[in-house]
Amino acid sequence: MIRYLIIKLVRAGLSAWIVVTTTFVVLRITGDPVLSLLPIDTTPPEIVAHYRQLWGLDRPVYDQYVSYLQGIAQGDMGRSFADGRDAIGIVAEKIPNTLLLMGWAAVAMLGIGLPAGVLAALRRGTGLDRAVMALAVAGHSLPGYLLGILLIWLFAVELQWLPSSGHGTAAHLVLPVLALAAYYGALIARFTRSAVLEVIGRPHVRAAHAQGYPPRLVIRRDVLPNAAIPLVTVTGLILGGFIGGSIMIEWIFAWPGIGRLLVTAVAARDLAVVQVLVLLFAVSMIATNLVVDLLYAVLNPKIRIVAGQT
Amino acid sequence: MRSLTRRSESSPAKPKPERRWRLPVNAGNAVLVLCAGWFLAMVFVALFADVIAPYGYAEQNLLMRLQPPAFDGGSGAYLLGTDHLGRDVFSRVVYAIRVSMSVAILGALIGAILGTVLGFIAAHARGLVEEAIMGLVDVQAAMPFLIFALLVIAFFGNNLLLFILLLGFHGWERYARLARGLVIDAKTQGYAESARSLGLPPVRIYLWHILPNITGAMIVQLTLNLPETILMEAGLSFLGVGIQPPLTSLGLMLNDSRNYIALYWWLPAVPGLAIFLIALSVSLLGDALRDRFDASLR
Repeated sequence: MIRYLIIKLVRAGLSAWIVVTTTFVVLRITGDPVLSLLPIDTTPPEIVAHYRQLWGLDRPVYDQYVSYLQGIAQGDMGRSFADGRDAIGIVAEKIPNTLLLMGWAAVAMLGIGLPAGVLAALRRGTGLDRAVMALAVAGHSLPGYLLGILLIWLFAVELQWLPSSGHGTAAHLVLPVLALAAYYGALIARFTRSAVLEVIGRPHVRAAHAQGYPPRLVIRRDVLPNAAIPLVTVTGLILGGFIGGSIMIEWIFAWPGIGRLLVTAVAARDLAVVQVLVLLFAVSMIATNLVVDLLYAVLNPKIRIVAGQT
Repeated sequence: MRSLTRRSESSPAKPKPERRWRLPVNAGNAVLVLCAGWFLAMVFVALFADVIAPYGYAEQNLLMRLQPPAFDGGSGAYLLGTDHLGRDVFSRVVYAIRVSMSVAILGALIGAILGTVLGFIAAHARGLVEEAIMGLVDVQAAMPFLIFALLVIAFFGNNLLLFILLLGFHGWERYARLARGLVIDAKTQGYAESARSLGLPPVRIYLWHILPNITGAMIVQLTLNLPETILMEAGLSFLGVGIQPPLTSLGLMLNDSRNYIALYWWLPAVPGLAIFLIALSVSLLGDALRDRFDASLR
């Protein structure tokens, strides 16, 4: 187990280092930041040279690389090209908004997706099952941005129940959370359904039924814990999609989070901000996958033993 | 179902068309035929956009701004109404379908070829090369593609060629994984062994003998990936970092319409419905193909 843990930790650290280094390399080969900031034709060469010296661009590459790493370690990743503020500060002030949105969306997604999937599996072949599956298929072709526009049209324009964009009150949260949760809720419902169906046919479940335990108890004790294992493995995958989906949703609903910030920073080529966001996303993905791996080992003794031996 | 019988009646050469078609017809097949029909119609629209569209996609008529569709009380000259610059929505959606479909199909093909070639290389070389390729596959699979795409656009800027190449990266890792597995499997089978024992060079065995055998599975994978690529193109254009004006695409039309949802429903509805129906029809077709022809993909 310890060995498994160490291997996973080393691998996570290695991934983080690769991301950091790739960002550095890509930023250096895509051009001189000075030229993208200053007007090329009208800037005297002395000023360009001055800025290069100021930002350390005249030093050798490995020297720049070391100070780049030092900067990251000290929490200094440069200033936004757009308004000259500290890039990390710009990102940090938007994080709570995104966490609020994603947190509630995750609650809604699991709160709807898991029960829907379990119910569909237990009532296999009934109208409920078909309805859940049809919604899941349609949901696959209805990405968050389309659903978001549909929701805005229905609830904000036609019914006028909820605000169409902005943030501040609980009412502002409802539509973005719904739009974000629906797509992945449908996905989770589908995964849960097949996971439960797979477990329900196993001999030990049939044995439990034959022993006369109440069906509810069998489902709670024998079916659900076993069905949880494949679901844990797709968590990392879903989180990745979830982050991507939140970018779209924040864009549609003018939600002031990091996803919207990423889009505006990309459009303006504000590389300092983009760089901070890359590292933030990368580290959260790596951390999630690490947690999933560990959780998986806790849930499934097989993995623990096999990984410990190799 | 109705369209089926009608089509079979119009083809006179077949002796007993009714019977041949009736057997497999059920609700599922009817949906499939509808999907295939819709997809072919969209391909037709994409190919003949110049003929179908009554106006140019950038042609403005500022006196006729925000006209409702003809069936909603608008002028007959603009079938689906006009947008905030007085451009004909019908013509724009026709051209948008052309751009979106060709960009997505090109991107999907690039991804399929790239992934398949890398899969073959991994299966042939084994060892370190294989480890490296499969490592890249894992990295790509773990990274949300939308973020990857935004980064590439942030670092390298945006133009049409780069955008198509970028879409080519969408899903390449799935082809690579699939091709590698299938090739490793095929190499142990009789026909590949005997081709090798005849002294044929590896490239020839891969291209002439193994490739034709795994093409079916790769095409199924292509139809499963295509709807996602279509949605990804629309999504990136919707964010304003994909196809750039004056060119148009379905996502770009949707983005343009965001400020007009309240009063001019047809502006978001037309491109939104087009995106949904195209993605839905292709993904249902892909699911059906997978279920029929390739059980190993499930």
